[in-house]
Formats: sequence, structure tokens, C-alpha cells
Amino acid sequence: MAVTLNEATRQTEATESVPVTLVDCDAHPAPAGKEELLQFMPKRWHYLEKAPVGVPYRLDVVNDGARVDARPKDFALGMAGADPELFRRQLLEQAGVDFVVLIYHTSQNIPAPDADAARCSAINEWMAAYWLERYNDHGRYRGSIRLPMHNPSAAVAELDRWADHPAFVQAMAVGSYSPAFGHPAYEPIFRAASERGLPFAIHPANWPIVEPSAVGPWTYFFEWHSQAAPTAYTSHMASMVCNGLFERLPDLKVVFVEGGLSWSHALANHLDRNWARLKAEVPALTLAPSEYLRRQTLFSTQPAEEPPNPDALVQILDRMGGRDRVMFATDYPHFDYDDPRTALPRAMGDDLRRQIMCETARALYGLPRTRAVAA
Amino acid sequence: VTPAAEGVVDACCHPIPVHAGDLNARLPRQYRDQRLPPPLGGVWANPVNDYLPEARQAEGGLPGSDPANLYEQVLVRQDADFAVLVPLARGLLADPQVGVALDRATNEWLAETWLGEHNRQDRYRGSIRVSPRAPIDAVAEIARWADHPGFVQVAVPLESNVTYGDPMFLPVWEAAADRGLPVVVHSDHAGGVHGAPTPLGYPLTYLEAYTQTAFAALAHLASLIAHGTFERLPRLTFVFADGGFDYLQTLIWRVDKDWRSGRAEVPWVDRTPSGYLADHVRFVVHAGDGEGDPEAYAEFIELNGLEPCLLYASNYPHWDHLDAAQLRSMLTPAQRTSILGGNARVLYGLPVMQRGAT
Repeated sequence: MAVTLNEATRQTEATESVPVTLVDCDAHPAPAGKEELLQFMPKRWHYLEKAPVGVPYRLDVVNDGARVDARPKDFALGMAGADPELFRRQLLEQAGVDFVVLIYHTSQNIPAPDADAARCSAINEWMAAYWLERYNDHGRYRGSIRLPMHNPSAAVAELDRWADHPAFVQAMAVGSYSPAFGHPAYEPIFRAASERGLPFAIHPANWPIVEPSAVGPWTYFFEWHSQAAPTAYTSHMASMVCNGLFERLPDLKVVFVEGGLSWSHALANHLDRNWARLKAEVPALTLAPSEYLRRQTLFSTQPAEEPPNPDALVQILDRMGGRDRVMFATDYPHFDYDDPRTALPRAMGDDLRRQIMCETARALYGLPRTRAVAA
Repeated sequence: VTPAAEGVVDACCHPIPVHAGDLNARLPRQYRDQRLPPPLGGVWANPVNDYLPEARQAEGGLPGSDPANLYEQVLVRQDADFAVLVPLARGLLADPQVGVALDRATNEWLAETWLGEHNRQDRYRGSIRVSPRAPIDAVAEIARWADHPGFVQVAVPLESNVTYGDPMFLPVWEAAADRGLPVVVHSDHAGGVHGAPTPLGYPLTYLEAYTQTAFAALAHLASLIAHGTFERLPRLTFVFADGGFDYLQTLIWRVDKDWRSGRAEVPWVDRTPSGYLADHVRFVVHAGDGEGDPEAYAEFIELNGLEPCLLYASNYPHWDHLDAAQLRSMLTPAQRTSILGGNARVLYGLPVMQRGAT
């Protein structure tokens, strides 16, 4: 697994190396044109990629939701994240990130389970061929194995296929699948990830299939963008806890990416209180819900909540036992990119900052303490 | 602070007709044989108990239907001066006109019974039930009862297929604001055509469904703010009565953050979204809310300036009852005054009772 690549990295330490201090858990490379992805997909599904995808809000039209300066000039597609040189320069050089965990840019799932599986498979092949091999001579990119959650046998096969690849460090799915992830139909997938020692990341979906509200569609971009991921993650988290997934798979780690984190403490409090009175319904649970969450769930920072008083966030982190459950992310190349120099409030202090910027992710993904300096 | 000013106000308890069919008799002839979903019906049965055991009635009436019991268990036991009554509806009925008829029947029933014959001490206040998806009827129903001294707010279901900031609802909120009536949002916990209670469909357990019900209020709240509802109706107040103030607070930080980068889309939203809370939003405190540790409980409220926004409620006769003494033990002295009664007194225009005078 990742050991091979890390050993390769260590061998170069003899020449010149620097300590690893900054890990980015969520950045999005894109294919340079549709053909780059379609070459890995059976022809019968190519027509699916013809569907134009748009976000129904006025705001997101601006530069497709990307950082203006991250849009490459050299590609027909012109999609931010598609230029490997620009990606490397902006993230590794300018932002100074040591290791990046990559998540494929397009985020909606396909409703048909066989088509979804074909697309996930193509995404993984593409990521392996381009970003984990061709563009990864520096060895600083790690990948996420994208999974079709409504096709458990295909998802497990995909895990089998990539689990021993040295640069894939986690399984990953978008959060828009329904029902929530505690449903027993998903369990073989989580079991397979857990047995292979792969954390499971959930990333928000994008239009046209997004996480809805429970009481009607989102009207404005900021309503959708602020609520969709955390409220859907609330459902996934409650579902995974209450249906015993964490009880049965005690080694499974689930990373909630790009959904914030402080709401999870309120959720944990509610679940604990309600569980205390409703235990009869969920006899499989041997721990309070918050204990499973503390043991097995993690979060990426971008976009962390920003209370007017930053101490409120640190307090919640302490109360939820969250100091070692939060990992820095930039969300490069998106418009709401977090710069590592300014992303965290000063109230956090140096120890907590080091934990968030590097140590938790380094441990979770098995990254080395040092890396070779670029030749 | 005098003891009188500290009298408890129960901002949300639920009187229930003696028998499930009682309201049918009050419906127009063509709807009398309508099968109404039962109270607290729906997909899940509560595996423990829907109602407080002591709220059960000996003579076979529904829990919460006996005036003597409710008086004893809410006003006397909570040492409350007033109880604000929020009768629940039955979810979104397939035909909105049946829902409108049920609203009218419920309001007439409440006016005759709990705000009439059961209210000799004038310590109950009521809520005008309306169906926001039938806005013309809702406005008419508000006009019908607004001058009745017992009705102090308008009640709508949490369940909706459209978030409450949508312009179709604006006439309803305007009618309430013009009359100085807050709008209370409470889940009917019932079947009907609303669909699943979470973003990702039907959960597998009551524990999940129950826990997330309150959280749906966030989408209504953000929608009301995003559409500029509080800018257009400066007198409007919304009361979210299913609990979850801690969850909503943490997510409003996120709504604030996205508004900062996305406000070009909603130029009429003049304040940071959380800046509307103190003037326009109240949360009813539930038993599942807040930090488990009492010191942390009060600190969260303090740190986030939530003291003016919270209202104590018993939620009687439901199983998830919150005892006033229990909440009191979690609060600072200043928070006790406002949250246990002061905030509700101001919101509903309730007098300070001379305690011990009756």
C-alpha cells in the first residue's frame, strides 16, 4: 500500500529532505478535456458525459465556481484543476503544501448503478494514470478511490482493484446517495474499506444531483452552499451511528469533507440525549453515539464555521474531542479556496494548528515525516 | 428581580381533543367522513412512549385532553403563570382544502374549550392554526381570530414542500406581522404528503428521524433570511418550536460565511444572517438541546448571545417533556429570568402576575 511509495520517498531523504508540515486533504484535479476521461469508459456510456451540467444559481456562473487564477489557458476544456503544471505551482509551491489528497473534481453521481460504476472506474483509472503516476514524479499526490454506492458489488471490486496501489490512500463517495449510509445495503462497501485499512471520505455532490433540504429546494446559492453538505452529513452520521455500522466496524474511519464540523457536536449531544431514552430501539449500540463519533469520524477544515468569537470554535473542538479529528484542506481550485497561511483563527494556538495542518492527516493516511526536496 | 417577574411561561404545550374524531364533527359536511392521520402518526412508532405516562387519561381520552390534568401538570407543577397552547395539525393533507377546514375546526375548538370554558383563570394563550400553502385562506383565518384576546400567535407546520421564504407565503407572514402575531413553526410529526423528514430520505430508526426533525428548521430560517422576509416585514417574528438551537447556531455561522461571499446574489439582505436572530427569531428549548454539562450549557448560550432568543417550553404531553426545574438548574440567574419566562412575556405581551394572589 502507501508504504511502498513512502519508502521510495524515504530513500531520497538521504540526499535532501524537509519536514512535512502541511497536508491538504481536499483538492480537485480535472481531466484536460472529456476525452481524457472517456478513454477509460466503455463506449456505451460516453453519451452520458454529453449532458451539459449547470448550477441553477446566478452566482456560480462566475468562472464555474473556480479561483479565477486557477483556470488553465492551454486546454480546450479550460477547466480549473486540469493543468498539472499550474496545479503543482499554485498548490505545492505557492501554498507550500507537502502532500495533497486528491478528489476528482466532478461530484454528482449517476442514478443508474451500472453507469455510475463505469464512471467511477474510469475516474480511478484516470487518476491513477495521470495524477498518481504521470504527474506524480515528486510523489506528493495521493488519491481517493471513487465508489458507486448504489452498486455495492462494483464498489467492492473497485476497492479490490486499487487497494494495493501505493498512492490511493482512501475510499471516497459523494454525499448525495439516499438512503443515508447506515443502511445495511452499503455495509459490504464500508466493510471492504475497513478491512483494507482505507479511510472512507464523503465529499459534497454538485449539480444536478445534490443533497436537498428536507423542506424544499434551495433558492439561492448561499443557502445551498452553506446547508446542503452539513445537513446531508448529519443524516449520514446519524444513520451510520444509529444503525450500528461503527459498532460492527470499529476500525472504520469516516472523513466528512467540506461540510464544516461544529454542527457534529450539537448532533452528538442530541443523539446521546435521545439515545439515553430510546436505547430499546437500537440494542446493537454498546456505546453512546458521541463515543462512536469521537472514535471514528474526522473532518476537513474547508469551509470551517467562523463564529464571531473564534473561541467558540475552539471550545467546541475541545468538547467534542476534536483536536485530533480535524484536517486542513484547501479545496483548490475552487472559489472558496482556503489559504493555509490564513485559514485557521489565531485562537487555535500552535499545538492545535500543527495537529490540524499536518499531524492528523499524516497519521490517518500514513504519510512520511519528511519528504525529498524537489530536484 | 422580584419573584413575580421570574414566573415561568410555558411557551409551547399541546392540548389534544378528547377523541381523535372530535374535530371531524366540526368539519364541513363534505369532509366529515375524512380519515385524518392520527396525532403523532406517520412512519415510525416511538419505541418507548409517545406521551408522558402521567398525561394518560383514565377515561380513555387522549393524553393531554383533560383540563384538570394539564392544569396540574403544566401550570402547577412547572409553577408557570401562563401556558401557550399549540395544537398540532395532522401533517400536509393531500387536499389542502381539507387542511384549511381542519385549521378552522381546530381554532374554533381551541377558542371554545381551552381559551373559553377551561380558561377561567386567563392563563392559557392560543395559536391560530393556518395552512401556508393555502395563503388566501390562511390570511382570512388570521383576520378571523386576530382580535380574540386569547390568540397570541399563528401556528404553521414545520413540514413543507417549499421553504418558508418563498414569495408565495409572504401574504401569510404579512398578515401575522401586521397584527403583531409571531409565527410558530412546529412539526406535526404526522403522515401526509410531505415526504421524508431528512435530506436523504427516510431514516431507518425513530432515533434518527426524531433527532433530525428539529434541524429542518434551518432551511426555513435561512430561506426567510435569504428572501429578505425580515427586511420587508420588520415586525415579523418566527418561533421555531422543535428545539435544536445549538445545532442551528453552529450552522448559522456557516450561513453567515457563505453570505459574505455570496451576498451579491441577495443584495436586499442587509445584515449578517445571524444578525436577524435577536430581532426576529426565537427558539423553543427542548430536552435534547445543548451541552450535557450544566456549566457548558449556560456558557454556550452566553458565548453566542442566545439568551434573548430562547423560550422555555414543557412540550407537554409529549414524551420529550422538559421540566422547568431541570432547565433552571442549567442556566445562570440572568438566563433564568429571560429564558424561563421573560422572553415569552415580552413576545406574547403577557402581564406580570401577582403570585399567590389567586
